[in-house]
Amino acid sequence: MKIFLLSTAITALTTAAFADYPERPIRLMVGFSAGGGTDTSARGFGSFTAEAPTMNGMPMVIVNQPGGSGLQAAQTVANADPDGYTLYIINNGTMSGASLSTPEAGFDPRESLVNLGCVTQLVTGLHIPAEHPAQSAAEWVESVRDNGEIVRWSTSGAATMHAVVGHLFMNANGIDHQVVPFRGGSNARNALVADDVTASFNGNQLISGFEEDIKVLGVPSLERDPANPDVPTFAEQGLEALNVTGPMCLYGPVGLPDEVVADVSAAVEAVTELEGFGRFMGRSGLAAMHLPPEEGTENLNRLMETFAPVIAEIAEAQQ
Amino acid sequence: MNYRSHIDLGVATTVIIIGAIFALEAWRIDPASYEAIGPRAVPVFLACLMIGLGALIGVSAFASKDQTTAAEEADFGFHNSDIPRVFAVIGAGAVTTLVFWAAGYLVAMILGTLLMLWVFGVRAPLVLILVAIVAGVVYQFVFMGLMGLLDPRGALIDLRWLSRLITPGS
Amino acid sequence: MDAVTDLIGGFQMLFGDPQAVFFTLLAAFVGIIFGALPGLTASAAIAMLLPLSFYLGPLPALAFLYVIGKSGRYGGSIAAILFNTPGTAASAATMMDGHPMAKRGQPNRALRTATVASVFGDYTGEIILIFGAVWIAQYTRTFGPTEYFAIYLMAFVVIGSVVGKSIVKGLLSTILGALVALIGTDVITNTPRLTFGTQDMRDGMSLVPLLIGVFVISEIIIQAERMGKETLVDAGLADEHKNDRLSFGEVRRLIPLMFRSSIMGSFIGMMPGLGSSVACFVAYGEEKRRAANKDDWGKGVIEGIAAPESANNAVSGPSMIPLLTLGVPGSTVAAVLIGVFLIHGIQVGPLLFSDTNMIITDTGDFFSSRELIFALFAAGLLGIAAYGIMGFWGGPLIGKTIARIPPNYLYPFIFLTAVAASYSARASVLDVAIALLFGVVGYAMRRTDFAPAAFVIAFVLARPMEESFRQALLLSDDGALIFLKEPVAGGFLAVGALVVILRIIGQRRQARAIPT
Repeated sequence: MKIFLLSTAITALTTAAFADYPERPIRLMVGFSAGGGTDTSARGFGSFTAEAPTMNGMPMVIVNQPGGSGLQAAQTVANADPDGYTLYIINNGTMSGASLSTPEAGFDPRESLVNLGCVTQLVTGLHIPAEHPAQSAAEWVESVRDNGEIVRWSTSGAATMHAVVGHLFMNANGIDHQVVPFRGGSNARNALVADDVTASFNGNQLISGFEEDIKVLGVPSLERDPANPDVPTFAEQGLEALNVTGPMCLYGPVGLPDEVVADVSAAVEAVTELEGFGRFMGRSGLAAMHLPPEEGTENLNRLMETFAPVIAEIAEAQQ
Repeated sequence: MNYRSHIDLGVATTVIIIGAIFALEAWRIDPASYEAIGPRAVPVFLACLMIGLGALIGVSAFASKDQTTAAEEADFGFHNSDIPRVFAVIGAGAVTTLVFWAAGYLVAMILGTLLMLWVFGVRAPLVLILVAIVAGVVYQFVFMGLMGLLDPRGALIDLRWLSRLITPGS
Repeated sequence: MDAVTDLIGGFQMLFGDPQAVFFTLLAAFVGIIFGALPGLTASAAIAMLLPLSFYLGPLPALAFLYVIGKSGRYGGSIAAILFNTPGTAASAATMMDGHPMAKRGQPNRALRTATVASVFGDYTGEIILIFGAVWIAQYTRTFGPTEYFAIYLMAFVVIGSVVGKSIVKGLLSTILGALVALIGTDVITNTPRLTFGTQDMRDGMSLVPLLIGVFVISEIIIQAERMGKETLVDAGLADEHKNDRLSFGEVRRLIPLMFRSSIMGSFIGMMPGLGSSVACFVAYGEEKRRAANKDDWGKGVIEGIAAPESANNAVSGPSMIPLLTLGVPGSTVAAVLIGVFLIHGIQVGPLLFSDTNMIITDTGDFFSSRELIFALFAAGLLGIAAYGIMGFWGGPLIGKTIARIPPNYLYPFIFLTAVAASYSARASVLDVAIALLFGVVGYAMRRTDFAPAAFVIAFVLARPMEESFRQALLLSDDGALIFLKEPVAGGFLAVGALVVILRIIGQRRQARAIPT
């Protein structure tokens, strides 16, 4: 009897607690320092959430916890109470790269986090100096293969999404290559601007302002990126498609109540449809793009599977 | 041997020990790389250099003749230092950090203020307690509230129900 | 001229942003106070106030910290003159003539000389910065890892050759800084290094807790051990003021001297790693050598205040040149500013002067990084005027007020702020422990003739130096020869070698001059 009373009391309490979720601002964790790419997108998103009908006018407040390429904050969220007031926003590509390249952290996002939908995406591009004669990725591949020299390419780190795409591309097209990792995408881009490397695999949002120095030959997505509709995919040019993009998704800890999942994912969709949000993302060289939770989860699973052998290979190549 | 040489021998020992710790740790780095110079080379080189220079200090401490004047010595070494007070500051800092880890920010700030005021010679109990509580509340309000930092869960006790009361926006 | 038009645009952008103007003026005030507090430096102020700047837009944040760097150097002269303790290392030379002058009843005359000289030096440096940086940035755009490695190596050599009392201990300070900097995941191979087997140290050490440890916590320890031994300030000033003013004629007479000292300070400032503390002694020594009244120096002459003060403030502007044109921080202030640029998504380096490199803020405003830099220059110019005015008329009052602050309340609150600031950079309690650890390390270093400033600057430079070295080798077809084959890189290496040779010659000469 006592147990029955207690459990009804708890049910009553929890229902009451979630009846009108959210009743206070939600903390949206960002795994990087204030001001970086992820942070700017997250702050933009957070400021628009109050306009979503399911959010009761509550904003999402950004809280930064940098560390371990975002894994630190991911673990904080995974261990938080599943009450829907501590959520996480990160790029799937970043999270896959980070968790696979630090197996000692023992963190698998597929087991510890629940996808709540995605709001935009980062797309890797093959960047080369603007004065290079090649007009397409296919032409470029041919010219560097004929040339016979080792292709040195810069990228944003040893095991980031952009690095993985670079390795996949070079291996798929049989190009003799040498990666030169830099600390962050901007440094990798600057090395291309300074003509130190032949090519760069890097985020396409980083070329805004550098159109005179750099051209983008192709992207590894199945469809063209809405932020750069002029850039063809590799598949269009007769090369292997690769199918790697990094959507930026919201996550919560495992065990979120259904109502929270429904409300947040509805809010994610509503925000991506706001014109102001699209304009905001446009200034960062990105585009608003919505993926429902199932597709976000599917994307993460695919990235983890695609990245695992490449990252293992990168580690092995060093032996 | 003069005072400076004594201290310098201590310095040499400390430097060599720190250098040795870094050297051991650097040697454990996985040197595997596709590069000519891998990730291990520079740290090992620096750590060995550190040991070598530490030894040099030790040798020259033995060889040194006393040339320094008293005025130059005033700021050197620890003979003018109030060692108990130095350790009191470090201890208060350590306790504050430990409490921060165990019980969160608010409590650590209150306790930290109290200890530091005491170390700096404030003894009136009422002043100690009042200033500490007010300072803790203000620092919680400004850093966790206005600036929106992560208010961490204490590793041993979660007191965020208390700190949330004075943290706007959480 | 291009830069003049851009500067006018910069003033428009600055005055179009009331928050930026407010924080520029606030910085002028805060810097003077921190600089004038015995023991606290501009670097300490910047490290503690950095977290606040996360919540400002890019312009107010940069202007705030940049101007604190300037007014903090000036504020140090107040402590040097009135209390005979240098508020910052940069003011150590000012004490030699400033305090005797104040002691004999002319504190205002000394303070005003310091103010005029600081403002003069700061403006000279700022103008050299504005025109110099734009000019140099055109040439550094094509620099890659090879050139960068040569520049970093030169910087290390320069730091190593001027590291204070003991060369061996100075070198050890830089090596320790470099080793601490290499803690964390290696960016080229993703290998964890020097992490002592922990996960938490994989991200490496962050600059803010380190700075707070070395410059703030160690100072709190030193202040604590002084408690009860002596009062905070050794005023010892005469009650009666005699002839306590500075005439316009005297200022005019000082102009050539201030100009020479400012140029010296500016050149020293441009070299990465050298700073105000070197500049003030070089200018003092040089002007004393030239002076007709050599024997009066050290007893309180205005020339002995004007020379070091012009030189140490002239360092401020040009020390930004390596940062803005190369992305290489030449001073601790510049190193902190890199963090602020990165926080706002701005990569430092020659591309800063590109007017197509757009920056967007949280509020959705956007502008080019070139506009931002010129607005920052404008803020610098405004900030100099602001601290000049505050100091000229308010200096004595600020000094008197600081002498009245009870240190047994002041330092506990500085400690609290230090803890909060070290936590806030990465929301990490470990960083608080690290700040404490480096506080103890910094204290021990200061007590045993090591060079904490060299330690910090080595920490900042070591990691990019190693990275650029290994990247250059990856880019090279013939190994280490790449550094000699590239003319620019070879040139920088030659400059580094030249500095070492000059230093050795200088030491020999000194050794011969002072027979022991």
